[in-house]
Amino acid sequence: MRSRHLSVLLLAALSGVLAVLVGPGLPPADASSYTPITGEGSSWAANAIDDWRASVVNSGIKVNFAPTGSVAGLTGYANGSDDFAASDVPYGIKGTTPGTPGRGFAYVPDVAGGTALMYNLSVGGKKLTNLKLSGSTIAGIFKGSISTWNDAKIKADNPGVALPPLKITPVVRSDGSGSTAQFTLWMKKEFPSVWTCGEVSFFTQCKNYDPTVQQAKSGDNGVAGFVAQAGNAGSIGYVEYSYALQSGYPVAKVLNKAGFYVLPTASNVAVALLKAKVNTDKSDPDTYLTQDLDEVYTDTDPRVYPISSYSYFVVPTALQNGFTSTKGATLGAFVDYALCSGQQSAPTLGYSPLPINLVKAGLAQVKQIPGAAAKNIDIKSCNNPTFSASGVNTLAVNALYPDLCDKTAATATCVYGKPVKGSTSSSSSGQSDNNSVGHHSSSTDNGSSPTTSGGSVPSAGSSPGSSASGPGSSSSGGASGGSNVVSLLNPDGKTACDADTGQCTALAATPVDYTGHEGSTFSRWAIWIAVLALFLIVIAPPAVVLLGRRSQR
Amino acid sequence: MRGRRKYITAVLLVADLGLGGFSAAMAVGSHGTVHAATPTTTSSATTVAWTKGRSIYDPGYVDASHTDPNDANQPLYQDLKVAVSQTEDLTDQGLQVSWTGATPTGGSGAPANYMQIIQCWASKGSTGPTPQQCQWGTPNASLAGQMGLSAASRDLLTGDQADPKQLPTGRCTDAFTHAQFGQSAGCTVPFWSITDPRKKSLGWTNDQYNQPPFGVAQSNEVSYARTASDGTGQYIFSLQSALSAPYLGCGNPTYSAAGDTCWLVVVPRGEYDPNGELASSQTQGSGYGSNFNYVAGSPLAASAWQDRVEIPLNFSPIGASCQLGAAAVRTAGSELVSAAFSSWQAALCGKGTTLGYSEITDNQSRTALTSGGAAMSFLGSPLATAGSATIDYAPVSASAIVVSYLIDKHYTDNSANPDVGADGTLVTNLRLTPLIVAKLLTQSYRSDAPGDGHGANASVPASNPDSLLQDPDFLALNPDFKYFFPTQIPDGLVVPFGDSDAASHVWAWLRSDPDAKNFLNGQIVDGATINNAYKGLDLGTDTTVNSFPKNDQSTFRTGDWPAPGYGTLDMRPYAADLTDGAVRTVAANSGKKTNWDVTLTPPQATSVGPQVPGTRFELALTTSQAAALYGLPTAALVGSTSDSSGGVTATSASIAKELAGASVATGTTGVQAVDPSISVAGGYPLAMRTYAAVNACSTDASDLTADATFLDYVAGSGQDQGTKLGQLPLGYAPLSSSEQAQTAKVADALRSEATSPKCPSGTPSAGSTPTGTSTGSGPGGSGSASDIPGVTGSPQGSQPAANVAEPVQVTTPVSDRTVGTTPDASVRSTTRYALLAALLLFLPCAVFGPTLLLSGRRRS
Repeated sequence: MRSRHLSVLLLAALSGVLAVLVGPGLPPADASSYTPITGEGSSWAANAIDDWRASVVNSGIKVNFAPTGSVAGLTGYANGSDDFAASDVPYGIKGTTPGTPGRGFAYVPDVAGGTALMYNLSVGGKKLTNLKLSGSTIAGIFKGSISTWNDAKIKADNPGVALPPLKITPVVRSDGSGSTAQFTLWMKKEFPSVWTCGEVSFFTQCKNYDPTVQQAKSGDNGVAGFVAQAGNAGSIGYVEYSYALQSGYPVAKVLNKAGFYVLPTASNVAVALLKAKVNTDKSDPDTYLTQDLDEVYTDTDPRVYPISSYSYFVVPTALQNGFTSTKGATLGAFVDYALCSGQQSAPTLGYSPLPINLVKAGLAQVKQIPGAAAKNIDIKSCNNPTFSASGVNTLAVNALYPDLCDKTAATATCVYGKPVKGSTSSSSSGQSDNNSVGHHSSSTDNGSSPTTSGGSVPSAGSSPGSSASGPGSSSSGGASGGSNVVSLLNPDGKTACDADTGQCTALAATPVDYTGHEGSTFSRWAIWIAVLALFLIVIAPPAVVLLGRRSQR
Repeated sequence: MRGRRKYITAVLLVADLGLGGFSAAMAVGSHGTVHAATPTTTSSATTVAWTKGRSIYDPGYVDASHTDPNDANQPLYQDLKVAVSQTEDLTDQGLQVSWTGATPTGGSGAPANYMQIIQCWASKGSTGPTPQQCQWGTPNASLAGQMGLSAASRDLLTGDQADPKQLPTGRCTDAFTHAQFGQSAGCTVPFWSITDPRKKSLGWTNDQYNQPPFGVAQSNEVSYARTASDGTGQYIFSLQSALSAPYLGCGNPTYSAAGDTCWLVVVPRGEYDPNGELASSQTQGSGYGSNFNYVAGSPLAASAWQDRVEIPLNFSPIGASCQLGAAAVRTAGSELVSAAFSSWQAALCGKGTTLGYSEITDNQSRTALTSGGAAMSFLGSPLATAGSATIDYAPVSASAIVVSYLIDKHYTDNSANPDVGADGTLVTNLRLTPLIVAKLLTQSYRSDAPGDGHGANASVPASNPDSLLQDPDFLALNPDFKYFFPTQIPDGLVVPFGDSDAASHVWAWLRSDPDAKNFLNGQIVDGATINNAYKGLDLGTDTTVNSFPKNDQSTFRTGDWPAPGYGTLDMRPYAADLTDGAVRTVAANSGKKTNWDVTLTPPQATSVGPQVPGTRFELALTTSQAAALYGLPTAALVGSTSDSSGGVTATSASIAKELAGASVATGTTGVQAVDPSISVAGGYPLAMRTYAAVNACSTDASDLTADATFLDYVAGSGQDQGTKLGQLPLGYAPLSSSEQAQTAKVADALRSEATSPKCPSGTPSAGSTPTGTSTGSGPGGSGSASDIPGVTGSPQGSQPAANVAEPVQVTTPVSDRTVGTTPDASVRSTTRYALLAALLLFLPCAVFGPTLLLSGRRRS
């Protein structure tokens, strides 16, 4: 007891010392003097931005942000009505985004994520959760040329699934949207024969837009909100993955160049973006740090989620349009936070944290904001979850491989549990698990290799699920957990894959029926009975003997 | 001698059995008694009488009789008393400002006799703010249009209209002359920002445009608030800390240390213009503009300013609590905990434990619990089945789902209306039945469907009421609404996007009400039928519904809207979350985008903007804590329209009552659910608990330590309700003492796991459990057996010594996860007691069994 107090005291003292040591690196202005700032833009990134906004309040920073869409953000910034913008796309894409503003600006990448295809479809009265789609099928659906769910092309992606003859309702963005631009750019580059309307930010400007085919809704919230209605069965829309997670609706596994259908998990996005070419020509602020995703689309790593991208802050580099250096101090502190600690919540929410090179470049960009505290953030104390000592993106390195059942031409009866790279990992858990990196920021956690990450779980395999048949069996389960053989339906003891759909969900439970529970009345009485029985076992025989003798006497 | 030994043995046996029995009882009766918590609220509310208040805050001006013989308005203010709901520990929040004894406002708009409410700062050593230190003069245009000349602005009237106290010659003086390049000079009260180094030397120095640093979007000024015919009125004033309004500096420790202060200023306006003339006697063309016979002039003008009531405000220091970017232990989960978390976090940061929180849904939390997510998850309901994972649950907060509202009384001129005198004031009393809420949640009022039910593929029955104002059920409970202008209808009931345990609870509540259930099942109830688009959703029976559907698929074309027109999500968009619902209510902006703007490229739907003050009618589902923070009134829930009671609103007391009376066990130890079908007198049926859940065996030690520190705080001073940082914010109900004990216990368990890990590591551990010897003694095979592996194995083990050693360990929490336990082994108190009981009861068996046998043999 005393030693615990002592250690707490010691910890407190240590952190106090630490605070003093870190202190001088902080902006000279006291934390309470931050001027509030206002921005607008990307609804794709809004869930992450909202998380950061809420997190900095107790540090005295107030950031107003409206998820009005990337184009509105870029426009508002150019007009001078915003202190900063959030956009998935840069200025000056012809016919897509506003021209380069007269106001000084710099791009700062803020978060990565996957543009997910959230859908609402039932097969045989059951919600379908394992829809697989190839890129050309997706392009056909959003173009309107694939109009029913039992189309041969969709069937080809989902062999053996009894897809219904239901009309497809593609749900698109009605507002000027960076995710529309990223999505259409991907289709334009990869499937030019199908997708012919090019890259647009207003889907309604696309020549393929037909209000009787596509439904146009405002913001990711509007698109996800539409798909998530029971009455909109047959609809499919593109949103950032976090919106699908909020609604509990499934997203399609998208075919990558390696021939695997994968989900937009944090790790699959991280792997994909290893191939993003970020413009590193500092001499041209109009393009510096903007992304070229061509090689992401064509990457042959089996883990790649192809529609992955970065989103950006647009920050001022000059005192114009009412932007003051006090606002610059706020914006600088906020963006620094977003790039470092803020990335920790990315995977929890449904995003993917930025890799070290972009964080470094972003932190350098922050210094251009007039008024931003000239602080040199030690990248090692940045608290970004993807960093390792060597600078590799641990999230990408540790990303699990997809399951063979997610390979092209896998049958509907395929049983999940066979990852593509043997025993190194199980795709199923990786696929379903958007939280796998969570809070783990220590290098030991992240440093663990894929093999051990698979092997560290089997303790969970020695589960009480088997206690019905006696823990003896659980010990054998535990032993096997260390080996390469894993239960097919429950590869890591934490994930269950639906045999029909192949959709894996992270579960607490092993799928063994387990009725007894510590909290149940039965088990409580069981304790009593056991105790009583025990008592009787010990005391009854001699007592009976004794009484018998007595009566004999 | 022998008798004495017998005696001692008997005493020991009785004591042992007694203790064992007690332990067993504790193990079985795991639920402690639930005490209704007494709410603690702030006592910093204050009331200031006009006569007294001015003598306190402006002694320099007021004469002995508190009157200025030249101020014809002052007789109107003699009985005025102004009250505010809170004056200490303030932050960005809603502040209820109310008054009595005022002269009623007549007519419509602001002709005369109304209040103007302003937030100001004041310099060190002063008795109060100067007009230059007040956030004023950027009114909502539609409000200013209903007021007299300059009454909403900072501008001073000149010439004949001039205030003789301020501009005796009628000409603007240098202090107020505002020359702007390219414009003729104006006569205006400048704004002095607290952040301006030259704030003491005044001038138009604040920024490059020489304009105040605030605009209509930022300013919290209340251009006018009307007084009802009984002389009362109230307004929800949006206070701004330095986080939102740095130029006022409220709560900024630098300025409070320097002695600067913050103030609420209420300026009553009477019937006379600044030059002393009766406003109503002015004629058209007299130079007072279109509202020529309305009271004119700025409240910052000397003759109006001298009649102000000033109330000092103390803000909580902002921002000092947590160091930005410090390494934080991540937690995530239900938004129901977010407000409390933020307050607790501020306190814990100061104690060296930095926790971060991300808002995710309850379902995401449950997934995260077993997939290596955050260090701690917050949720309403437990995992359906914990399986191999050991999850510790600790109650952390209790609050409720509420219907918050912001409604201006906008009556037609009808003498039959008993409340007509309150026209233009806020509605403060609203009663709703489950049935009415069910109609709101299912777009069953025609005005909640595109085109008011006239759209393409309309599914709302034509016979349904258009809105609340036409619903006999609603009017029976809220009769004054009969006299509302029929066009003043709500933008539906604003609900959040996504799934949540809160939504599940709302639907469970609706299903527990016969009328609402019948309605949801498609029956005609009180003349209304559910929107056909919702019939297939089985809302009356499906217990898995955990979101708020917006399922009306119809669309409506109007104006320039291209096909197919606007739909449900354009006119009734989702809020981002429950808290956002309160924000939208305060702003009177539901976010609807039903305007089609052809001037944009490309033409697109745009926001309609906020409702105009005076005709606002906004309803939103939100949390009791968000409603409390924003000062929003919340609806009272009643069972039926025949209920003549006032109904139950969500208060700390009604939440605690409900939780005490309607809690039922879930399948998970330590987690209770609230069953809204259990009727609790005085209980608020939409009360909910939020639990912290930790998967101890997959959380590393440093995180467990932080979790334990957090839970210890939550179980202790975190339940002290109040407005200070670190306290339980208003709107929550403190946890009962048994819940606090449960949380403290979990904290202990987590800490002991952190200091001496008992979780199985990578090597399989179950093999060490000697279950092979466990014979068919029955109960040993049940799930509970794994909690006491040592015991089941022991009878045949014939190693009493080892078993005797067990209880010693058990009594210290350190042994909660002994090496031999399976991962399911629990740290729960029940288990500990059970183990203790078993061992205590076994002890005499072990001793007396052999003894009796022996004595038996001896006798034979």
